[in-house]
Amino acid sequence: MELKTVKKSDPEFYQLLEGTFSDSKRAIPLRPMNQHIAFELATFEILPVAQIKKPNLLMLTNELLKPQHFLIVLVPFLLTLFSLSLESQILLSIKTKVILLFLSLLVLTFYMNLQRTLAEHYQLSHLYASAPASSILQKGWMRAATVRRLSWFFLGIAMLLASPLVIEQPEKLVPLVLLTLILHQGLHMQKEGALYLVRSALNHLLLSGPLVVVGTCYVFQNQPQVQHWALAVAWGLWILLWRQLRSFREMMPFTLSKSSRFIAQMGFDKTQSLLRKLIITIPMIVLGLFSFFPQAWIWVLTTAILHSYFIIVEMDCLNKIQSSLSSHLEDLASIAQKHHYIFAIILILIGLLTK
Amino acid sequence: MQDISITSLHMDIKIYDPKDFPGYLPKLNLLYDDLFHGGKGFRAKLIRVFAENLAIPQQTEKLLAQTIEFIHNASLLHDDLIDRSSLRRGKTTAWLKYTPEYAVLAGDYLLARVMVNLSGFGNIKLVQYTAEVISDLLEGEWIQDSLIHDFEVTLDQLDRVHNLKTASLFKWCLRSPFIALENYDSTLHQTLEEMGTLLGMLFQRSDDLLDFDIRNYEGKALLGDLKSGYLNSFGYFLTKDLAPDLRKKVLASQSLGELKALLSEKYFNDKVTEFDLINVKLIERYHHLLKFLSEQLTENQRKLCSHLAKLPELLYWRKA
Repeated sequence: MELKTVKKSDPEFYQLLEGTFSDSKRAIPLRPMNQHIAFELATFEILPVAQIKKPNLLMLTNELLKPQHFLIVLVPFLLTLFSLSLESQILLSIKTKVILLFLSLLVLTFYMNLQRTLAEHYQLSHLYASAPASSILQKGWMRAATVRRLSWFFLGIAMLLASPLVIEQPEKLVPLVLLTLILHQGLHMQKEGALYLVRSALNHLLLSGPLVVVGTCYVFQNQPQVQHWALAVAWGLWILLWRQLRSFREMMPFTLSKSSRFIAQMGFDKTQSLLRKLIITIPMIVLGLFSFFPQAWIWVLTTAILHSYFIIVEMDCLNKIQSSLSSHLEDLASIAQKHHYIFAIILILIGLLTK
Repeated sequence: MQDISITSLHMDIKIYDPKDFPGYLPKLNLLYDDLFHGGKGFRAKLIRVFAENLAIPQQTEKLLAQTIEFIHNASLLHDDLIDRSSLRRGKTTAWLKYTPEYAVLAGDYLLARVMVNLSGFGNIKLVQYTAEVISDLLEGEWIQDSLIHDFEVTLDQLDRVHNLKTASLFKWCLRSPFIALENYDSTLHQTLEEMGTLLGMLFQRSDDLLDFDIRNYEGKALLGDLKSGYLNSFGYFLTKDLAPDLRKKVLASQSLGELKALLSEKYFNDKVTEFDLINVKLIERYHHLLKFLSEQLTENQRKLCSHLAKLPELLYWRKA
């Protein structure tokens, strides 16, 4: 086993991290044995590229791009689209706009996923998490320098695809696009303090709900209605809850590494107590917001049944968690994930039925 | 490591300050002598290795050796009461032989004497670091207690507990001699911290294997962890790939024979080999860091490394 330990202040550290130190070898950062001190050192396992077992192309692409995260954007996009008046378009046809917007959102999601993978890699935070963003860099399947170039490529493609849409209404869409990029960059900043926590939560909420909904309305020359704002807030709140339920398992590693994340700042007892309240209140708020939708009874009734089931299951799981290393933390993350997928699919189906 | 009789080691380090172990406290001396004599004093011997190779003054060596043995034995006194264990080092546990109250107070007393003697030494960084280690030890015990009967716990989670509980004392043994010599170089200490954790992890995993009669030269009782509802690192590794029904039966085994009958001898032995291979990688990482450490030491201090190189053999493979 070839190992190399360097100081983080050493220029060689970034070469190892980027993968630019050698064409025939990869440096895999090893998890430090201790997280509770500010580490100056990093140890890498140096592997010949030929020795690294890469998965097939499909699996590699899936691991790199994480297309399942597109669901976060797809749901508000589709639900907004189903509810819009698509009659008066200026330059581009409806079909062209739908395709361009869909593709630009998809490619932008890929860019954001890659940026998250890179942020975790450069901060070495994936070494501490129980569920890192991606195995691409962790297992040496690709070099960080390559992933970075790919991410900029995807951003370029997303901008290119979105440009005809933006050119049509620059005064409305340029600020939205800029805001999206700024908020996204803000997600990866590691800072402490209550203000940062609030800002981070707001970033997540805005990125997943309002920006997509409002952007979609503007692209199709519609003004956002009450229903759209209700959707934007409902979905944004749902994403916040989903993320917190899944993040609870990272409590101990985040706390030990002095992360600025919400759960690390709150502590185990307060987080558990807050989650108990959020598991009930957020779905209730979401149901309340659905009452602003046309044919509200379908939305409210169907999702009420779904949420009722999952609230009971999630609460039961949460109550079994006795410490920040409990195996029930993984169970909670897994249940929250199922809840998220089923909720998203049901919303899309109802949207199709009621359009 | 140098073969020193446990009695002589005990006599050397028990009394550092004249106020240690006053005669007017009934049974305290007996309780501690009972406990200490059953042990190997490994950590104190490790301090002696450092003292010889770093030219640490004798009184300082005595203080460091006493500190680590007191902390270790305090944790054993409390652990045995928390776990309601009946045997420790082949003898009746202190809380049973005397009273639970005496066991708690004796543990507290040892920790208090550590703080008194260290603060008298005058090195505030040593006091601070020792306090952190005691805190880590307690955190590890706290969290481990919450994992009883949680058979879905992963190796990663167990490692986090062991880093706090077991490894913290090894880390202290490696770092405290340098702190006592007022060498606070951060790169040196981070290297020692990593090495200490690796030693602690290897020691714990070896101890976990004893539960399954692997390299059980001491004749330790078998399946003790499993029977008390605790899934140790090898227990996790052995059962992680099993079908749920079989896993449940294996975890409910009352004897090693019963467990092996469920799994087959071949499966069991293959898993031991696999587990050893994983830990061989940890040993390689330790030796890599040892080489990195030697580059940071002075020429005179480098002879320490030849002693440190033997530790994985001692702790994991249990070779003397």
